[in-house]
Order: sequence, then structure tokens, then C-alpha cells
Amino acid sequence: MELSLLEGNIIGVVTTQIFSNPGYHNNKIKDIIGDKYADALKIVNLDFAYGEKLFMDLDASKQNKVRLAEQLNNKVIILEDFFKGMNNKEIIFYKNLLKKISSYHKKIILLSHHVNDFLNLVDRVYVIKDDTIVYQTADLKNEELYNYVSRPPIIEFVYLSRQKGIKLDYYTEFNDLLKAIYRLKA
Amino acid sequence: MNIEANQNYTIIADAIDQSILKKLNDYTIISHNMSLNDLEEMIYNYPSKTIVFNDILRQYEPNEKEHIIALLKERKVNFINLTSDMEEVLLTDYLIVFYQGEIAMEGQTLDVLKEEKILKRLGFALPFAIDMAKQLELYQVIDHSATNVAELVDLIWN
Repeated sequence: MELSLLEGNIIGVVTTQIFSNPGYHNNKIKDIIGDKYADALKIVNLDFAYGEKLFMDLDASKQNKVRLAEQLNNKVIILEDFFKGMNNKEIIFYKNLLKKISSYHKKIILLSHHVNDFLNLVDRVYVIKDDTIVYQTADLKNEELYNYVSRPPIIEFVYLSRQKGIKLDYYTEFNDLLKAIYRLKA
Repeated sequence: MNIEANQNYTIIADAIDQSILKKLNDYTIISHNMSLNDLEEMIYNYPSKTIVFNDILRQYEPNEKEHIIALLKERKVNFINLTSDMEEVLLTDYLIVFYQGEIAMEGQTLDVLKEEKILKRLGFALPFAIDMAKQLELYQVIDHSATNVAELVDLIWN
């Protein structure tokens, strides 16, 4: 499937594909990124000293950041399991960075096994199985989406509440949901 | 790091790098992603008592993770789950938190998760259900905590 043809600016693709590392193991980071590698590393919040390191010596999270740095000049940036190895603080930082990069007329395609990675980030989600699009939506709150993939905990919470007859809207922000629960219980 | 037999561990870290992996050198570390079938087959034929998952469980659905853990129990294989996914910390009773290559906290999982302020300062969020339960307790919407989404829903609306 030609992923670059998918519609959207920041696109989430839920796939059962098994991700594997690119064949960069013995390459130095500066050789993978090429010209102006120090600037590219700075943009993805890695010190320029990483330029001298081998790809295989980095943890998964830093490898993913290098993959982003490598593609910064591309019109279409494809990232596999990008948030692997990141803690919450980093996830928030890199979601904001991806939004900023996308604002420079770049299409970002994130491949993941879970919708949770896409919350408050993507403008369209595709579910791809066996190289075929089986579902697509612009709305992560769309219940139909979850016929194909598992619900993130925040969506699962509202779904189970609705099953009990509670009139609760879907939220993707923790604090918005907290306030809504509080209002209903008050 | 003191790893005891007959105990499953979750290790969360700001970076799962060589400094942590070296501490687990005595065990077989599974770092490459594989299909559920391949993992099942590996567990069936696994010769040792302890297996280390290097952030590979995140590729599976929640029900698949439960299946893997049930299979490990059946085969009497203990596991150490290195992960960056806070939702996975509830898969084991014991939690070790690494920060900048050193152990920052460890103990029974639910006890460690009570140290919300320290965890958040280190950059880790709480699992969704525990975090939401804590906030709702603070607002006196509920009077005790919950460890999973279904339990939390029952607690709030029943």
C-alpha cells in the first residue's frame, strides 16, 4: 500500500504489521541523517554528540527520534511505533513537535498498533489489515472505529459508562472527562 | 538489582538502554517484535524460569497480553517486563522505576503508584484508572481507589 497517498496532515495508521528496525545497525547517526545532522538532531531534541554514535547503540526511543531527524526534509514523514520507549512527558513534547513540523506543509504518517498513540494528535485514522484499508475516520470518538481496534482507556471508560445508561460524552483529554464526571455527580 | 525467583516484575524507565539491559544479562531478553503465535510457541519451548520482555508487549491487544501472562503462569515461567507503557505496570505486583540508569523507586506496584508526585516529577503518568480514581477521590466523588477501568466505572455509577 502506498501510504503517502493517504489523506490527512497527521495520519494515524493502526496496523497489525510487525515493526522491525531498518538496516541501520552499524551506521553512524550523522551518516544516516546526512548534511546538517547537528541541526536536525537539535530539532528532535537530541544532542549533536549523538551524531558520532552507532544506530544500534541507541535505545528504541532515540532510534525513533533519529528516524524523524532523517526525514525532516521529506514532504512525507513515516514513523513506526514512534512513541515506543517514551515516558508521558516526552510523549506530550513530541506530539507538539509533530504538530509543529506538520504545520510546515509536511504530511506525517504514524504507524502503531494502538489508537492511544493518536489521541490529541492525528486528524485522520486508518485501520489497515493485510494491506487493505478496512476502516477510516476523522473522529477518534467514533464508536464504529472500535469494532476494529481496542479502545484507549479514556474511550473505554466512556463506553462502559454509556453501557450503564450514563449520558456522558466522549473526551480525549483527561481533565475534560474529569470535569464532566464531576458535573454529572454534583 | 535483586530479582527473586517466583516473582514477576515490571520495570519502567525513562530510557530502556544498555545500562538497564546489562543488569539483566543473566536472562534471555526478547527484544524483537514477533507475532502472538511465534511468542506462544517460544513460551511453550522456553527452557528457563525467567524471561525478559524488552518493551515488546505493547504490540499486543490487552486480551492478548492477558493470554500471554496466563500462558506464562501455566508454563511456570516468570517474567520481567521492561516497558514505557504505564498501563502495563498493573500486569505485575512488583514495580521497579528506573531514572537516568538508576533505580529511583521500587516496591509493590500499588504502593509505588501512591507516590504520584515523585512519578510525575520523573515524567511518568499514572495508569488511567488509578489517576482518574485519585482525582475523583480528591473531589469526594468516590471514597476508595480502583485499579482498572471497569472497576472504576462500577465505583462511580453504581
